[in-house]
Amino acid sequence: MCKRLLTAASAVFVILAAACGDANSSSDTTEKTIFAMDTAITFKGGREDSQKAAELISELDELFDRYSEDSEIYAINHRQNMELSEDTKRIIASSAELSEKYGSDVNIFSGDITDCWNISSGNPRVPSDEEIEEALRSCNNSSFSLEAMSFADENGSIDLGSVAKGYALDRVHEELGEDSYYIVSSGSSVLLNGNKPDGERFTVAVRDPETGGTLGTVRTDACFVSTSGGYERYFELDGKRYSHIFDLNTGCPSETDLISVTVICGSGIESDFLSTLIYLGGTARLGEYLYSEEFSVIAVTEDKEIYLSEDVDFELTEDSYEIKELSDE
Amino acid sequence: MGKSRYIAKIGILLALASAIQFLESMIPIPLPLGVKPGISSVVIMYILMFMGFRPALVTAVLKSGFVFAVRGFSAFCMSVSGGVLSVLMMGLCLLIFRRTSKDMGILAVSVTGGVFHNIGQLAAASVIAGSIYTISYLPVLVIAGIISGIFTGTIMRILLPHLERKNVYKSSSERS
Amino acid sequence: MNKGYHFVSLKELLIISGVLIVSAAAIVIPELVSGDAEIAVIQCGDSVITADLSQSGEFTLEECGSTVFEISDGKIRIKESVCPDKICERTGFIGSAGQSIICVPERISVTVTSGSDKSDSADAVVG
Repeated sequence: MCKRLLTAASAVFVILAAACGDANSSSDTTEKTIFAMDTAITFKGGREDSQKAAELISELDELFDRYSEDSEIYAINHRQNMELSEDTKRIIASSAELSEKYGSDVNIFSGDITDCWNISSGNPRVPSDEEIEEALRSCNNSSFSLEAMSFADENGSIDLGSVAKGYALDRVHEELGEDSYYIVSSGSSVLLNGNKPDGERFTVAVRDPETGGTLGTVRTDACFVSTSGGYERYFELDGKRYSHIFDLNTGCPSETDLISVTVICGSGIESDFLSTLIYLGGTARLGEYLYSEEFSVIAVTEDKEIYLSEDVDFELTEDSYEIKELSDE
Repeated sequence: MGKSRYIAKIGILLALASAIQFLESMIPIPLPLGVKPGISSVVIMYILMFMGFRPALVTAVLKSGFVFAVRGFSAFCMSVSGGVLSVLMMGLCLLIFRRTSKDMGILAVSVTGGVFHNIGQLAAASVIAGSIYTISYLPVLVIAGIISGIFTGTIMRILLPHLERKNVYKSSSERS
Repeated sequence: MNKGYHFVSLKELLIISGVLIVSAAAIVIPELVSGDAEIAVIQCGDSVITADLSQSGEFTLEECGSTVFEISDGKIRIKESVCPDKICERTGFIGSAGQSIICVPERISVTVTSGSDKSDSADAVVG
């Protein structure tokens, strides 16, 4: 009896130990950096997961890069007939939905405006008022039909800059699932998933727009985090700094009193979209977003004031900034 | 001792160890890395000393089974690795005492158990995390193991005279 | 003693204390020696180079398209890059764990990682 018990127990032990070995080999973590979507994207997580994510993002980059002649967005913008992939249809439809829901100040059909500032070529220029006027008109009268997934006339072109990375993170999340531990970080957007090996919550450092150092850290569970700001990507012309984020009302680089907006929520495309939208809106419109139940906001103003949604677990590490409450006006 | 009596005894002791472990996990202790005093290893030590090596090993593994049910697979891996290594090293420690014909030092056994329990857990954690950098935690965990070993050894010292009045040293060499 | 057991003998106590002291030393000594020494991991395409941030100086990496790096006061920056937009040069010096400089055109990434204390560093950086 005793012997049998022992034999059974050791058999169970051996089987479980073998299973242990298996689980471990698949969960060994790795770090991998690829260059796509105009930035460096870093994966932390299982080896296989990282490989899958890297491939997926590279594929999406090929579809969405409007400057590459082989991309589907190029085909749409140049009015070529093409069988579109499910991903292209989805990102366009979701972006349009977000513009509908939150406001069209961020809008993917605004490619003509970025084009007339000639930013992609590396030789930006200030366009004439007429050029801006024309780009604005074409952008506002964009004839894109969501049913046909094409433009009806020559007005408008698509620029997925404000949503592509967020959508890519959503797709990675879809592909790799809820369970495993991985972090995908692309500079302005981050996807955090699963449980950290040490059991702690995730820590995300928010960059100080002035120095490039760390402004503070956010502790969070699995989520998507996106930051928009004009500081890292800007161009200089005649001594004036221009942001890479455009104000679609004026057709000019944005001039907002916010220097950095971080949005934390459960969707990549939404956090990417909202961070740009809130950034463009400035402090004047901050109140509309700060109290939302669907997402959390960290907004930094040019006067070095920080406004937080209530549920953000934020720790300020840079003394020159100050956390403020939004005053009622 | 009859066989069924023997199995029942192990079962009761297993339940006791699991219950102590469970109660211990409910008390929040502000120590890093999930370091616990590990009072349940007093039970394992008792089995090792009074009933022998193999039942101690079996109880340790079965106790980890309880961990698996409550806290999931990676916790189980860590528990089983720590528990088994701990029993192996405590058994070795007893063997050394026996071979050198000295009487057993409780503290030496419990500290060995505590230290190797943590080393076993760390080894499992390193494999799970896929990182050798966790080795930097080793000194901290060794110290934690020594402290918890002193803790459990002291409890053992207090309990031992009440547990069995026969020669512990001899009974540990009985066949299980 | 004839009980068959004892609590602890002097010899055992000495061994335990010895292990305790060695472990404590293993915790304390690296802290004292390295301080907050950090390293920068420079990735250029497929090659990965690590730089010790405690050694100040300038160096050029041919595999990174002749990019010039400078290390000073435990911080690193890209001093000169052949890339067109110079975003990487403007990023300036970085020195705390988790920070990074990215040069997209030249496919260079520089990430500071902490050698000793891992718990401090963030999982990701946004902005």
